[in-house]
Amino acid sequence: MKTKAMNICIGIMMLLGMGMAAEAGSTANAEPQFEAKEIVSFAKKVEKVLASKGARVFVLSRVGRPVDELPKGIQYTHTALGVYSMIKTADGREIPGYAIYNLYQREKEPNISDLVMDYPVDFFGGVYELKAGIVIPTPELQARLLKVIASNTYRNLHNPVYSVIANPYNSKFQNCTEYTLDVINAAIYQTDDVKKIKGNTKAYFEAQKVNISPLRLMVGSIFMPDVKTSDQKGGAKTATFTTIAKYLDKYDLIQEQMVIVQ
Amino acid sequence: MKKKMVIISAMLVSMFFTQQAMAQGSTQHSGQAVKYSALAVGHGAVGSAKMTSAVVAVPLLAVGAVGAVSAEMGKSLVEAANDPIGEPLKISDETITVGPTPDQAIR
Repeated sequence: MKTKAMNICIGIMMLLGMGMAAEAGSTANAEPQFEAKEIVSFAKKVEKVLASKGARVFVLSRVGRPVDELPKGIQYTHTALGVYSMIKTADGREIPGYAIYNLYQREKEPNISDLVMDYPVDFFGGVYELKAGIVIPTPELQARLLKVIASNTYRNLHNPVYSVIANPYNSKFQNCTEYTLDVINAAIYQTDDVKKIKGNTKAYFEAQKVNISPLRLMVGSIFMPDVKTSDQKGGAKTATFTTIAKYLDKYDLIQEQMVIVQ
Repeated sequence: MKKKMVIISAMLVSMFFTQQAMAQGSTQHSGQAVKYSALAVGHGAVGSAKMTSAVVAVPLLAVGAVGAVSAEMGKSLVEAANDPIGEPLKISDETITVGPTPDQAIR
């Protein structure tokens, strides 16, 4: 009886959990939270502000979950790099614009990630707030970032084994912010050596403490394939947009940082 | 015993739901729904609502474009690539998006 009851409970949890995940708002077929014209207008506004400031490369973040559901200390759910680019269109023209370089979880295998390029309107397609956190690095760091992004190092730094709370101090798992940080440190130190990148991350980068109880994390790691804790020691920590901004600011590597809202 | 199990289950479900707040942060926000919706309302809905699918995007370095298509760049883009970092940049009024997913493209 006990086993049967437990099985039913787990079944209900999994069913409800799957339903919840499907409604999480960031999946490929998720309904946008805003009117299309609002998203299009906001994405273009972000592009124009960045272009007016001459940003070739910038760190960009979005709010992909309802704000009241975010753990304390987490303001954004996804971080990527924006790159001023020549965009070749399907009808054969070349136009200037920003391409966004993302590490995305797979929709059907959330414990695996891919490197995906998209564009601002795609990036903001499912956000819960028309709000973008932006850091424009110094010109020297932008130039170094461009070189990394255009090299094999960019792809070589990708670890497809995903954890939403990946520890940025080691290479066991990776999430979007850790990957962004790895690319930034590869640019700063002009290296593709992951050990050197992680060594400097440990020495100079202060990660965000994950303010979720160990019990909840344990339950999450049991039932959610993209929540892993085996890379953590002494309290979970992860990289966030905010901690990346603080890190770059501390070492005078920011030209300008801003929050753009609609 | 059964009641106890239900209480434990409810607690676990509650914790599990809270956990979901951390999830799905990095999944791909599809622009498709936005694109098709915007197309449906027509270009007049927003001044910059013209949607254009991209084939490729090449970063523009201060010393020129990177990649095999750099030789195909138009003059204005070559000039933009050679401007010092920090100078205002041109940006198209068109809204660029990724192409449709394979299942949508084949319909």
